Amino acid sequence: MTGTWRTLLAGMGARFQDRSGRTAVAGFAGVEQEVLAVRRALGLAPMTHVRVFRGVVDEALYPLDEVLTGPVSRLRFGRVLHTLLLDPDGQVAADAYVAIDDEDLWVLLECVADPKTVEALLDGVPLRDEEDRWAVLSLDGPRAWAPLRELLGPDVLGMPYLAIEPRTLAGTEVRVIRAGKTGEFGYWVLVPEEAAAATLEALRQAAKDPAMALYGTEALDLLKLDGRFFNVHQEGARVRDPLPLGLQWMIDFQKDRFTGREALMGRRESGVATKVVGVALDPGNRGLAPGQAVLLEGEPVGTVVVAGRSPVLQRDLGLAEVRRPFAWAGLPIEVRDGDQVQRGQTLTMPPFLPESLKIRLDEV
Amino acid sequence: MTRDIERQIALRKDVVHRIKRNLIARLSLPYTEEDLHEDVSLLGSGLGLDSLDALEVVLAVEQEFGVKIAEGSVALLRSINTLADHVLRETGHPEAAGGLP
Repeated sequence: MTGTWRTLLAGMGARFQDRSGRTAVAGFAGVEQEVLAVRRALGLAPMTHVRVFRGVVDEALYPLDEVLTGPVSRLRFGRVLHTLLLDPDGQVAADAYVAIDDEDLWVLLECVADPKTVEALLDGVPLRDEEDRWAVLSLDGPRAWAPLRELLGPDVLGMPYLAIEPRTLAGTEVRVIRAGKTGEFGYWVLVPEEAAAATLEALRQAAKDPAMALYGTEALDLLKLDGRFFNVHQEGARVRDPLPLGLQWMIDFQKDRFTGREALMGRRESGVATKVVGVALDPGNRGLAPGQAVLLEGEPVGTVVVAGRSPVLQRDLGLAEVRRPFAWAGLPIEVRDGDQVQRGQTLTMPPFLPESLKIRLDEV
Repeated sequence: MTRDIERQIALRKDVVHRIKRNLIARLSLPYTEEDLHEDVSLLGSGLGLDSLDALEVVLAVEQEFGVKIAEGSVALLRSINTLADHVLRETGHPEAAGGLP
């Protein structure tokens, strides 16, 4: 992120925080307000912590396939793959989107590993680091599509999930990605950084929605938690092993090569001892926090790894790493913090139906 | 562990196992049952099943457990856990379902 873009965001009220060596926008008006805007209408987030790499498809596709866990070499034109970058020990280093747009190969990373480690893991893949050239704006919510329809036309509603399209938005060449990590409709707009502020303003104006809010990573953490989307900065940073995290769907086990494959396959073959599952405190109980012990009938069976209070449910929710024989939804648990024990349960996640799942884009 | 908890785990484990076995076989998924986390999204992000796959999932659950899934039940088709909750409720075991009360 350049100083100019940071100054503009600060002028909009942004607070900043460090995320694995990157500057992230933590928030604007307040976490609860920002989360509710995304759950009920739409939110717009400058994703300054996302690293942007770009290469030429013919040069970078196969080398990248030998590094990332997913089937990169089978990715089709105009589509996006959601996958992982692991370290040689098979531990999560980054959550990755890979997209093919014409001759360009885009790699967008949310990293838990520090910048130098990530660059070392991508060594040998002909990609340019373009993070100072591009800004990523994320639109999320049941009405996330509204400003894009206003600015780009109704055909944007026909974009399939995990697709990328080049577009001209408010006079600027951008790439629009339909993705989203909140459980609601989501679009990422890749825009040249010098045009990011104008594009953001154009999207705000086009939304014509008083319920819209700018939001940051503190709200995104809660949205990922109660929407049960993998968060590399939370459970990813604390557990690191993709197998207990349940990220096997992001891994092509039939591939012969990717970084960390040998270590990962060894752990898979010997059996995974734990699993990350959703937990909630009973209504009225407060204070769920990482590190607390999870008990089943008084016996320790796991540990809370992520926790937060869902503004939608007004309940303390979390994820706990639980021994596999007890890692089932629907069990009455207790959570122990020192001498204090509170009742709760393991649960099916996400614990509510996002508004976007009630909307058909072909009918709006 | 008390018998109630043992029974609750056994009920859920059996339902989840039968759902996973059907999904892997009918959709030729390249995963083992252990690979499939019960909360992984079936549609869109996650396994990325399409509408034809979703129909196959509905048929599989209806045939395996003899329970109905109404047309347009998006909420039930979100994950293995949401399917398991539905099966457990419909087969008289709501105590083993995993949704918030």
